[in-house]
Amino acid sequence: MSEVAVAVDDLVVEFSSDEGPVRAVDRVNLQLERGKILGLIGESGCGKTTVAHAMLNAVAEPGRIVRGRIHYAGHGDLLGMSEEAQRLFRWQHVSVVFQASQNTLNPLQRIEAQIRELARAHRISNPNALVGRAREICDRLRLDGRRMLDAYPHQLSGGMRQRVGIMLALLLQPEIILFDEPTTALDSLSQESVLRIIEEIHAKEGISGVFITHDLGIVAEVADVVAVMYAGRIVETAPTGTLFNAPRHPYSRALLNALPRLTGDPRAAKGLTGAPPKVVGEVAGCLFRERCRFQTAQCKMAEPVLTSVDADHRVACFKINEEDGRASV
Amino acid sequence: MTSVPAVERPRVVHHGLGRIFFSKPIRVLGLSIILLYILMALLGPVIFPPQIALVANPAKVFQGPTWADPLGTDFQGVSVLAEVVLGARGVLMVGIAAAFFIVVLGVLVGLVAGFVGGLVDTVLMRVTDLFIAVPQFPLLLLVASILNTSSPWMLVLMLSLTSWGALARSVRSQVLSLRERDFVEAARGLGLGTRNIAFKVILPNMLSYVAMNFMISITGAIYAEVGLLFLGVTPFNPDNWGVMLRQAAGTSGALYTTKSMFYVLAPLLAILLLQSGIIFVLGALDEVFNPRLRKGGARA
Ligand SMILES: Nc1ncnc2c1ncn2[C@@H]1O[C@H](COP(=O)(O)OP(=O)(O)OP(=O)(O)O)[C@@H](O)[C@H]1O
Ligand SMILES: [Mg+2]
Repeated sequence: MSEVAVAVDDLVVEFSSDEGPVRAVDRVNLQLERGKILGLIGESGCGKTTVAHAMLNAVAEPGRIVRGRIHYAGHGDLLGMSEEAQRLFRWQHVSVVFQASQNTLNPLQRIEAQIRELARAHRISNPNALVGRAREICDRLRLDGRRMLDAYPHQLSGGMRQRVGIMLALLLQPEIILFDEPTTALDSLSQESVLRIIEEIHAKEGISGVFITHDLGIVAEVADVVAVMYAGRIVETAPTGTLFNAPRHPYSRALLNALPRLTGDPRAAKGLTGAPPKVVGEVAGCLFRERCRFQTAQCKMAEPVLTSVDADHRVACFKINEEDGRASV
Repeated sequence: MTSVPAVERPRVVHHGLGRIFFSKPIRVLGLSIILLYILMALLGPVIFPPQIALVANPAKVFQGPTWADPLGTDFQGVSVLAEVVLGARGVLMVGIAAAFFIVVLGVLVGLVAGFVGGLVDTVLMRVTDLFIAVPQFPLLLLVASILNTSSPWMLVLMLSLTSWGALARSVRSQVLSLRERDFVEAARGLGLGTRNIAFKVILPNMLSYVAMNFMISITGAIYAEVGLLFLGVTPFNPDNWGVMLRQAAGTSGALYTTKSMFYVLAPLLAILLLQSGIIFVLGALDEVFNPRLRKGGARA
C-alpha cells in the first residue's frame, strides 16, 4: 500500500441559515494517497467545494467545521494546529485552484504585487526568485509571463485569470493541490495545456491532487481514484477504471449514464429527474431514495453507510446486491 | 511572438496620477482651487503681515472695493481680503484635523466591527449609535459656551467626536459586503493573516470611499466651525471667517447697505469656493484608488 498524503476523517461542515444549520458536508472520509489524483464528482451543490475549503480549514462564513480531522502525513491534524501554524501550512503544503479563480485576485494589485504579498506572508527569503518562477509557470501555461505579472486582474480575460490562479497554486510547490473545476472557463487548447501541466507536475514532482470537475471525460483521464458525492456524503469510491466500468451506486450509475455517448442509443443517456435534497437538521433514511428507482422500505428506515464491495471499492447503498452494475437506471 | 504564436498577452496600460487629474478640466479647476487655499494657509502671513494688515484704520471704515482693498474694508477699516486670506490657515487646519480624526476613528471602528464580528461588533455598534444620536450643533454650542475656550483643538475634538459615527457605520457595511467577495475569501486560503487581510486586502478596496469621506468631512467640519463662530460662542478673532460673518451681518449693518456687501459675501464665498474645489476633484479619487476605473492612457 502506498502512503496516505492526507486523510479526511469524519468531516462535518454546516452553514448556518434561517431554517437552521445546513449540513453541506456530512461524515465524509477521504484518503488521498501520495502521488495520486482523486477525482471528486457529484451534482452542483453536493458539497465538493466545501470539502476542498475544509481541507484548508478555510470554509467561508457562515460555514463552520463542526467536527472531523484533516490529517496531513508528517504534519498531523490541521485543525489541531495553532492559527499561525495553519496559516503558514496553507499554500505552502496544500493549495487550491479556486472554483471562482477568475475572481480570486485582488482587483487593486498587479499580479506581481500579489505574488510579493504571498512571499511576505510566507516569509520567503527571496521574493525575486519567486516572481521569476511565476513567470516561468506562466510561460508553461501559454501565458506571456512578463506582461501577465505586470497586469491588473481586470486587464486579463477570464481564462487568463483562471490560469493565473493555477500558476499561484503551483507557485510555492505544495505537496497537495486541490483543483476545483480548474478548466471550466477555458477553451479546449488551454484546457489541454492545463491538464498537461497537471500531469507533468504530477509525474515529475509527485504531487498529490484532488480534482473536482463536472467533466467526467477529464476525470477519466486524470484521476486514479474517484469519489462520488451526493448531498454532502460520499456514496461511492473506487479506482477510476472500476467506477467508470462498473459503478454500483444507483446515483453513480445515473451520473455516468447522463454522459452523452458518441455511440449507442441516445435514449440510454438519460439523466436524473429531480434535485438533491437540502439537508437541514437530522435526516433518516437514504437521501437519494426519492430519485432512486430501486427504493424499498429499508431505504426509508436507515441510512446506508459506505461498505466495501471489493478491494478499494466502497458503496453506500442497500440495493447493490439485488441490482448489479449492469442494470440500467 | 514568433516562435510561440499561441502565447497570450494581456493589454497592459499604465496611468499616472497626473493623467487622472489632468484628464478633465473640472478636476484641474478643483485642484487649482485647493492649491490656492493651501497657499493662502501657508503664505497668508507673508503676503499680509498681521501686525500691519489687521491694524484698525478709522479713516477707511466700510469702504467699497478699491485697488488697495479689492474686497473693501470692515468696521475697523481693515482690508477684507487680508482677513479672508489670513483666516484660511485656522479654518483649514481645524477642518483637516477634524476630518483626519473622523476618518481614522470611523475606519478603525468600522473595520474592526465588520471584520471581527460577534460581540465586538455588537458592542462597537452600540457605542457608535450613541455618538450618532448626540445632536452635533447643540452639543458644540453647549461645550463651547461652558468652556469658553478659543483653542482650536477643543473645536477639533468636539467636531471629530460628533461626526465619526456615521462613517464607522458605513465602513462596517462596506467591510461586510467585501468579505463576501471571492478574493477576500480566497485570501485566507492563500495563508494571508487576519491583520493582513483586514489592512492589505479589505482596507485598500475601500480607500476611494474613505478618501471621499475625508474630503467631504473637511467641508463639513469647516461649516460647523464657521457656524459656531458665527453664533459667537467663542472669543473674538477678527480674521476668522465665522467671526467676520457675524460682524458683517450683525453689528455693521452690512446687510442694509450695498457698500460693504463684500464684507458679508467674502467669507461665505471663501467657504463655497473651497467646497466646490473639493467636489470637483472627488471623481478623480475613485480612479486614483481603483485601477479598473482608469480610462485611456498609453500602452506599456
Ligand atoms: N455561504 C453559504 N451559505 C449557506 N449555504 C451554503 C453556503 N455556501 C455553500 N452552501 C451550501 O453548501 C452546499 C455545498 O456547496 P458547495 O459549494 O460545496 O457545492 P459544490 O459541490 O461545490 O457545487 P458546484 O458543483 O456547483 O460548485 C450547497 O448545497 C449550498 O447550499
Ligand atoms: Mg463547487
